Amino acid sequence: MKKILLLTLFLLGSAPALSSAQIISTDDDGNAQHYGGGKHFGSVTGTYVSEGWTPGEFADAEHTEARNVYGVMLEASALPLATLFGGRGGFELGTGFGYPGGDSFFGGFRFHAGIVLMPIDWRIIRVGAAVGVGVGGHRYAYLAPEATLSLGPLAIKASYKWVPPSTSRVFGEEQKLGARGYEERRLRGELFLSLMQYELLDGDLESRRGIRFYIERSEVDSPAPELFALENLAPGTYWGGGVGYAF
Amino acid sequence: MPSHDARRRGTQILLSALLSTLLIPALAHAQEPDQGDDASVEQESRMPYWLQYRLLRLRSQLSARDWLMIPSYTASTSLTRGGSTFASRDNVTLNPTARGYHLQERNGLVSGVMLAGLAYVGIASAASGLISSDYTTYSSSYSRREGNYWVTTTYTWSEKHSNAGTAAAESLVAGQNEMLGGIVGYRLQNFELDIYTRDWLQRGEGDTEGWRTNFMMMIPLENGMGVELGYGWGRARSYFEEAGCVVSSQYSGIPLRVLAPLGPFLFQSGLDMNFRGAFERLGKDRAATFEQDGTTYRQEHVRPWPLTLSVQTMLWRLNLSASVESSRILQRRFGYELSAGLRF
Repeated sequence: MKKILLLTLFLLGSAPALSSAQIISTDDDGNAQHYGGGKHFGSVTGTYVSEGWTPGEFADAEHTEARNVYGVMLEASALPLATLFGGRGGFELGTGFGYPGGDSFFGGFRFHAGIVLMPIDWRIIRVGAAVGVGVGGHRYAYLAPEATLSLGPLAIKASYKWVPPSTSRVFGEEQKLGARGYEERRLRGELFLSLMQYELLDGDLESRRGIRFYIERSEVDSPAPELFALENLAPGTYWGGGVGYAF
Repeated sequence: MPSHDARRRGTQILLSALLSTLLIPALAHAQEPDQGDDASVEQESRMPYWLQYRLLRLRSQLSARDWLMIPSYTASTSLTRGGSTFASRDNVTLNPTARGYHLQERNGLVSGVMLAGLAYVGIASAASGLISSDYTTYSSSYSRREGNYWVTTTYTWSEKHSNAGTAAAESLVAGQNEMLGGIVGYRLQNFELDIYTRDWLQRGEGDTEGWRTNFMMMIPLENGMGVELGYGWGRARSYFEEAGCVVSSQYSGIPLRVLAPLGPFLFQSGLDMNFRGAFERLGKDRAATFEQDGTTYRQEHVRPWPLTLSVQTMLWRLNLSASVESSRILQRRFGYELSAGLRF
């Protein structure tokens, strides 16, 4: 046992002085893309959600009408940082607008920004998670695990976004700590078809143009149901989807 | 008490796990990586390149000094107890148990972007004196008679004079942009987020709810040591249902850290200088009561300056930390914090 320990210590101690920066640069294949199995930097997507709208001061099933919300989202994400464990880190940003705005939960101005961490980036499988904050319907913080499978020009991605009710602040409600807001659970399946390759920044970066499809299921709930009257939203499960251009 | 054999077997398993982290990836690399122009690799070394590489990498993964220099993420869960912690009151009976999560991004992007944004706002307000815009207001009035009254009408208009666009203003803006780019591109940075929850792991444990975040830049010193400075803010509220009281803690200020790495250990002393309330009115944050879920609590307000001494250890992917914290060092009240988590 002592011999094994000594051998390990000897091996560790006798390794030549290669700097940490060199280890990272050896590991870093320069693949900073995040979208669509690591082939794109972002997307412009037309979105659609069918939401349950409760006109007036009601927030119950009797007064709920189905209403279509259409929108545009611009999203970008990159993973420029390589970590010592072979993972990658970076950021994601998204902004857009949905119509009708104003009294719609899924409409109006929308923005989110977060840190993305991708600890597993192994051949065709990428598994990671994002943590961030956003605005849109309410102000919130989110946690979003995701997994992507790349098969040639196709990439299939599944992600789950969870907004804990303790981080949600509803517009029109006094902002205070300990207050409860909405709980949002969104399951999204995405399909990317990557086509033409193009160069960015005078050839320093390469990316692909492609098409993005997604379908999503959002569940909105709250430990304080009276808050739903503020956004004219009925608690429930809503389906949506989108099609866009990935770059 | 485990038997001698069991302990020996445990040590063997640990050592084999450690060695297998070297060997399994090495076997996957059937083809030797291109040695390229890494001048510092000893070409005449008898050790194969992949082994050298794996060993060096493992050494970096066990080193706190390298941890301060390389992008890294840490996610952990934490437990804070005892007196005088972030969201506590001087009264000994009001010592909360704070449970939560801790996220750290070292040498990433968040602190740079956030501090550059704050610097932009700071410079813009400081520069407003240099890039001046003056308004000159002119007015003219005339009166006329309507029936039995004299009606006076006054017209007022103003003209703006500005030195924006002059050479002095242009150079100021150029210098500012260069500085902001420098802040975002500065690689030695640290972002910390502490989340306190009363429903830890959905078990309903914990007395404190809230968050605290620090955005810092590191200034490297001799021997791998460093000093970190930046900006941070946060709020937390500890609930004492039996006493019918909440302690509300607010922080907005400058975190200061001194870091000393030694092998796999990082020794750290920190002070969060809290200027919350020093420059602004607190308004409703001073309310004497707080209501939640139909219960009205008496509310105590604190704005702590927590002093922390901690030791953090990096064992490959495992990250452990223990610290002693005091917001009231003169009264010799101390709390402690333990955290365990994973590095990515």
